[in-house]
Amino acid sequence: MAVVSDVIISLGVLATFYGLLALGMNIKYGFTGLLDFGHVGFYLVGAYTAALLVIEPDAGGPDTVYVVGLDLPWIVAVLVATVLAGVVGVFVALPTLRLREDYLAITVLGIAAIFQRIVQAESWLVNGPDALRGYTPPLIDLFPVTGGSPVGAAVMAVAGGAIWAGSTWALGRAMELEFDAGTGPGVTVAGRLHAVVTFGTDRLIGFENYRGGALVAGAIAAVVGGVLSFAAQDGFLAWAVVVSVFTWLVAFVWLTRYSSGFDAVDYLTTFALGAAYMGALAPMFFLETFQLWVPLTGLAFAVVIGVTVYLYSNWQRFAARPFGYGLFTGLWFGFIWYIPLQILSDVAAANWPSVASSIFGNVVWVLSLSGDVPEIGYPRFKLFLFGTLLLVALYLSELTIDSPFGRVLRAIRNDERVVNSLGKDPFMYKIMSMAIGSALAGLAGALAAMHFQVLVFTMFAPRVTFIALLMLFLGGVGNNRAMVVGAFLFWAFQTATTQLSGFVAPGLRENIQAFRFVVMGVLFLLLLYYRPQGLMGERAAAEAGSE
Amino acid sequence: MSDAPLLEVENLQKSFGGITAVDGVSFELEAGKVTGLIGPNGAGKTTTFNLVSGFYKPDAGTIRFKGTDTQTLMRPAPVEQGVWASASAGFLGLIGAASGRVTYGVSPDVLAGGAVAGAAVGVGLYVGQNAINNRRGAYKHSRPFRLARQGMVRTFQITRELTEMTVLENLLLAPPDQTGEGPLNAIVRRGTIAEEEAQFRERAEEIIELLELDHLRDEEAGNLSGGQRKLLELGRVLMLDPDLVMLDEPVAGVNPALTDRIMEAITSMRDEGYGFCIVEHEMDVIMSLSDKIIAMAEGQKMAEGPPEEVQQDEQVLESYLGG
Ligand SMILES: Nc1ncnc2c1ncn2[C@@H]1O[C@H](COP(=O)(O)OP(=O)(O)O)[C@@H](O)[C@H]1O
Ligand SMILES: [Mg+2]
Repeated sequence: MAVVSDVIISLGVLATFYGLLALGMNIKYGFTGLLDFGHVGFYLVGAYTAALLVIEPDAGGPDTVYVVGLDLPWIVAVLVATVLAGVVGVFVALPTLRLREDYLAITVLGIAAIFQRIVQAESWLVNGPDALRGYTPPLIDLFPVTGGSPVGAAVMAVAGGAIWAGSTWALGRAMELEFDAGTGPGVTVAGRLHAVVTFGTDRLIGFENYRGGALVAGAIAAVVGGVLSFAAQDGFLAWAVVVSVFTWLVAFVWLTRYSSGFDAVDYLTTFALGAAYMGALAPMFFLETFQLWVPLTGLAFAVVIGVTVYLYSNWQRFAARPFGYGLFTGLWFGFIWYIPLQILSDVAAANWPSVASSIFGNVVWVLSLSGDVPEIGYPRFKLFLFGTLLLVALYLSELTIDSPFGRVLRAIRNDERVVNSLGKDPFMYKIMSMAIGSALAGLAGALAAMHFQVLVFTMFAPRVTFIALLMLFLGGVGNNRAMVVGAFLFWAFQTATTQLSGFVAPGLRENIQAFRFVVMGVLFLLLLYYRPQGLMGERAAAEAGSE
Repeated sequence: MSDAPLLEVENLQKSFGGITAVDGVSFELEAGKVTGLIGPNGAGKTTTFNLVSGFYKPDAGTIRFKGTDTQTLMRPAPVEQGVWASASAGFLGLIGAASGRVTYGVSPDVLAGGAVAGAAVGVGLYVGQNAINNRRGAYKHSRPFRLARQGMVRTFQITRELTEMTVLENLLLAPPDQTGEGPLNAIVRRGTIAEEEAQFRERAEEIIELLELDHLRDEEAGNLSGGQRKLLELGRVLMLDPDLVMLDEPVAGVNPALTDRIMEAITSMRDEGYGFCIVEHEMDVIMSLSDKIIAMAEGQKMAEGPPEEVQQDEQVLESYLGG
């Protein structure tokens, strides 16, 4: 039916900056125990600061009014927005942190509401209550890029090289874990793949240094991709195919790790569950007659119930690997949507060229094929940019939290009187925690400004804070990496419901969109009840368990 | 150091609503001595600890640690005062700029003028309130961490572990002035931090061994028994290397063999010059350990002197046995 890799890309973009937002919340609440219901306020500060720094000075037209426009480069804007949000975080913290936990939550909620009201009501400031717009995201004029041009070659070199290095590292990491398990890399499929993707250099460098080897491989891939793309559009296309296929292969290698211990019944059960959920939820629009539609949907429901009953009566099978089960059910569900569902109607119409191009477009996710020519559009660049920033922020947060500083924060979350009795001022640490968490929210806000290209006060409602909290609980309280998972799952759910509602009549669509918040609420309740530590749990505990 | 006693308490008073928990208590503690604080439940021992260590603000009385009033010690350091003053300046500067705009409209001069005026008022307000508070006798600080940094450390009667942290982490938290306690250092000075951590870890392992908590090193403190928690809290204090250690019922719930070990540890530390103040109900323990006993009842000091003397004191006998 269609090429939906674009949908996944935009899902990824949302997940990256919401991941940053949740990361900031995690520093405050997850590690320090500061329940900041006003988190969105710093997101707002970051977003509007970035926008005012990059926008051109107000020309004095009647349509839009804003206080300043500095026309600065984005890199400055993002940095200033981050720092300023952190400083505002300190200002908000100084009076409010003196309060007890629940009062703190309420007061900061109020402060965030004041921020929102200011941008709404002060029309001279940022054109409230209307939207602030008229600035463009960085480098957008260069996109979309295609092969045969220097820009296309440069983009393919940088992005392709980075993806290559990352995937090679992930492959090496998977193999290292196998090493630990005592099987060794040997001449496994993964081992051969590693030799190929490092262009044979892993034999020279030695597998133990697979981290450095990944960088070398990435550099080579950057050169190859750059040259091929510069030479011709076909080279660009061909290299994009190679890179995409490589990422899929690495994903498969990792999946085999997660499915270790799965037997045929496990695969079948998860497949049946994923497929039946998809069947039950996506009405079978392609079946013309109602008479077929209803019984088939009924059948899908029956399979869901049947498999659930089966799992319930064979509980130890599921309980042995709940994570693997959840992952694979979700993956089957997503996969069925990603490929088979998109080609169904073309298959039914025997429109084979269209089938082939759909599959091709979805597999070669590096390129956008929705236009006339295969190209790398701005959304893909944005995902790359945001993803890089997210990884950097995540790495720095992990360093900070793994240090004695992080230890003091966790001690404050436990009992700040102990920290006090040991000669450390809990107040100062809480201020620092607020500053770091708010700065991350500011960074998220700057990226949001870049992403949406328009800012309205309604985007900064308290709802955003609660979405960040939801992601936090979904991923795991006090687990930085889980914030990315939480953000991704949240937006995957949103995307899935949007996609599914696309299958139903327009009148019903709205109901589904509204209903999904109810579903989300119920799921959140179940999560808090059965797994209050989040899907992944706190990292320290998780690591202790795996040792 | 001067030859002032390690700690001097004069006429200490504290009441909660109608209850006078501590009613005019005075005593002195010396370095290199163990002082036992005894008395029936509700005598005001824990409250005295809380007052001395700065967790509560006294209603009246003075406490001098190493010759300096603890109120002076607990005052914000110049750096902190600077932070507060500039925060106050920034906040009022913002208000100044905003009110300048509201009154006279947007122009750079008005905004800047308002901001400067506001900032000046902010600094003035902070400095003023500080001066007034410092002069006003009634104003009291309660910032225990400042005293802990000066070398006065206490434990809690109802133990306060960091339940979600392991025994080892509980101990590693304690050392003061760790390089890695600054978030920026955590990123840029990882080498130094790793070296320091190795040292602290070595010290922590020694303490863990001393307190026989080896097998629990990586256990979360929340899973420890009451006695083990007492030990952990003692261990945390030992990590700090303080001058004065105040222990609130340190051996309650600890088995006899381990109690002996703790007593040995305390005695040998005392001989190294540490001062101890210990609240304990186990009479054998406290009498054999202490160089001096202070007996309290109903918020007042009833007797003070060497253990043998206090043990013979009629009032003390009565309040413990007859009361
Ligand atoms: N925070 C408080 N609020 C109210 N009353 C208190 C508080 N702390 C102690 N008290 C009261 O002060 C008296 C002395 O208590 P405490 O110092 O704990 O005695 P001890 O440690 O000698 O057993 C008791 O009557 C107690 O109820
Ligand atoms: Mg007591």
